[in-house]
Amino acid sequence: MAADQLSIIHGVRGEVERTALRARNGIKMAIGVSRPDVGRTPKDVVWSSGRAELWHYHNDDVRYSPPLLVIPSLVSRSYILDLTPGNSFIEQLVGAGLDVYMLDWGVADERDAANRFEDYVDLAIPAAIRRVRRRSGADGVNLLGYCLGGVLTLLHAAHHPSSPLRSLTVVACPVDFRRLGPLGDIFGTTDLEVDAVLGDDGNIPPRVVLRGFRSLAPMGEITANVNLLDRLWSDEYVAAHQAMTGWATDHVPFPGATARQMAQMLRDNALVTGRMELGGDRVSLADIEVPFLSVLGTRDHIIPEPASAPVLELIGSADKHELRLDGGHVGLIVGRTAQRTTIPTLVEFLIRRSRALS
Amino acid sequence: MRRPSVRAAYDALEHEVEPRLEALVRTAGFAQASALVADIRSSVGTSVDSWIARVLHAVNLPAGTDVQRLRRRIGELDREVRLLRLELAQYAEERGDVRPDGG
Repeated sequence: MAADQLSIIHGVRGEVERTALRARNGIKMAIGVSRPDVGRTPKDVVWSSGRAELWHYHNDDVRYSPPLLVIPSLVSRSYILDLTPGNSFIEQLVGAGLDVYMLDWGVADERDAANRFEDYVDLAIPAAIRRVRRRSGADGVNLLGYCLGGVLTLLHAAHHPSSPLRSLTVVACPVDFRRLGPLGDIFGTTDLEVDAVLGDDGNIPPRVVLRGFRSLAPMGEITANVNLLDRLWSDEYVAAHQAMTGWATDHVPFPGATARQMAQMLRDNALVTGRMELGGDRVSLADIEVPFLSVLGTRDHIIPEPASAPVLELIGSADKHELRLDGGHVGLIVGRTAQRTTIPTLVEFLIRRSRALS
Repeated sequence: MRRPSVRAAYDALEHEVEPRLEALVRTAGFAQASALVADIRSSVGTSVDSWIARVLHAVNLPAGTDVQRLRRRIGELDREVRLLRLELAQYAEERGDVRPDGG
């Protein structure tokens, strides 16, 4: 048989196999039997307050001290940081010998509608830091904030210069709200009041948050589905797609009072102009003097590079570094860029500022 | 085989359309229009709620807005208690008076 004919037969056979796999995965997705397990790294709840829980990840091979405390965003689920086994930011940090904790904010309800930034920055984060120190016996913690969690960590470090932080890392963290794009413009440049979008529970409903994020990439959802159709034969791709789109559409209510403060922050561009106030005190990022790392993505469409890059100029630390990557908002912590660049760089940064345990 | 041509067509379409849509959502007009829609939706909702509340109050029944107000009040109380507990824990720690469970 000629080589050309063999090649055609091989191609047809491959396409038939892929079509069968597409059908199988399509049916599994349609009836919902192939949902990926997320947030699977083993952990214990070691403290809680309201909806917030402090998680301590199991690690029998902790090689460095002090521990790392991770602060996720307030508007999305924290499992993006522990997506799936083999593709988990947390799992990789644990594997590098770090003692990892995460302060999960839970799902806000009417009991959280009056929560202000002060509740998180001045009370919850300090309480979590105290608990981590007490459990570990360490005299400080390394603190890391992702997205809006980064803003919380910046505010905490700036408002509490004596907080026992060994270092501070922010990932995809906005500081220049004038450069945030549509999400910033809608409150920053219009007369829209937060109260106009509040739900019955006094919080911004997840559907409003989702609509806001979707408007940033108007064709994003269609493209994701076209990509899925194209790669429906691949179990690995389908699992990753489900985990990612599941998270991207799985927002939580944003506490109303915090949203009002956030809107004022946007209008004042408060972190850049120094007009941020917490509990009646002016808060300046220049008061942050701990070793600092900022990780940002040049293709981040949620927190664009110009919104996150100025943090390095704003903080007062002498020991400050930036890791600018060719990645998107989620790509900084999930997937190949995260595994090959973000996490190794972060681990190296932390290890240099930690003590090796014998 | 057959897919690349379909995919190439979509990619070409996306290449053409996406930058325009993204530019549109970044205009001041889009922000203003979104704010206006949210405002109208909120005003309509408030008017309807207040009309329903008037009708229910006329026959001595609580309206949804009353329940909502009550839920928020309870929520505020819950928050006050939560913050007090956190402040007490901090105070206890500063005094060195920490319970065995660390609370």
